[in-house]
Amino acid sequence: MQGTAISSPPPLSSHVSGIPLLWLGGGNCRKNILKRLSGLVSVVSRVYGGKMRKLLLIILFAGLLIGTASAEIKRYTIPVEGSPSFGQRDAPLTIVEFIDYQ
Amino acid sequence: MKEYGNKVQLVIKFYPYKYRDFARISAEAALAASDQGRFSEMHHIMLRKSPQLDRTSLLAYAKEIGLDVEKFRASLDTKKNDKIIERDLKLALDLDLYNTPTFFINGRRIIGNVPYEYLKKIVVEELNAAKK
Repeated sequence: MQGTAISSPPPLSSHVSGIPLLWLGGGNCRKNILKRLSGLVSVVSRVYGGKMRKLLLIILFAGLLIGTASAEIKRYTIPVEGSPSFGQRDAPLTIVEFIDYQ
Repeated sequence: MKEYGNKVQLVIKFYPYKYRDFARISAEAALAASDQGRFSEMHHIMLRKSPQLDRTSLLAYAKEIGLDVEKFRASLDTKKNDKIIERDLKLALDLDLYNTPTFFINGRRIIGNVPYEYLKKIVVEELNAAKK
């Protein structure tokens, strides 16, 4: 996931839009969804047996991977005029750093 | 910057935390040095010496890096660059920032003091994307 924070976790919805659904809405949303998925896997296992459970787990996992891969990266437009900088103004990559010296 | 040379521009925005005693004055010091064309030196010396960023120390650093100390002092006293700091503060609040440092790498937000290798990974991804 983008936006790894050492000091405190960012609201993940501000970094990623779209799938994966698991990451939106915060911890309670995740817990509820995981709980329901866990329940679904249990039901399938009881009704259809172990092989179907494995197949369902594979499908769910693949869906999560595809969802994560296809999630869009949110980009912000930051005005840079009038701010001190290092490097060339026309460089292909611009890093804006918000800083507190203390 | 050293690693990617002219492929990267690093822009500094000031987000002094209001409950830190010297956060604001050190931002003013950076801009005062920038007015004399010595932003880089002041920026790096403050990063090295932090948290020793009281007014007396800042004046000493200004002298150390060869600034016109009287002009520097006047800039601090008159809060000459207050508007720039307020502008950056407003921008930070509009962006809902809650931590420093926060980076925007071609607009991608990275929050906190993340490992260099992670930053580098993002930089490489963005440089590769820019080539396409």
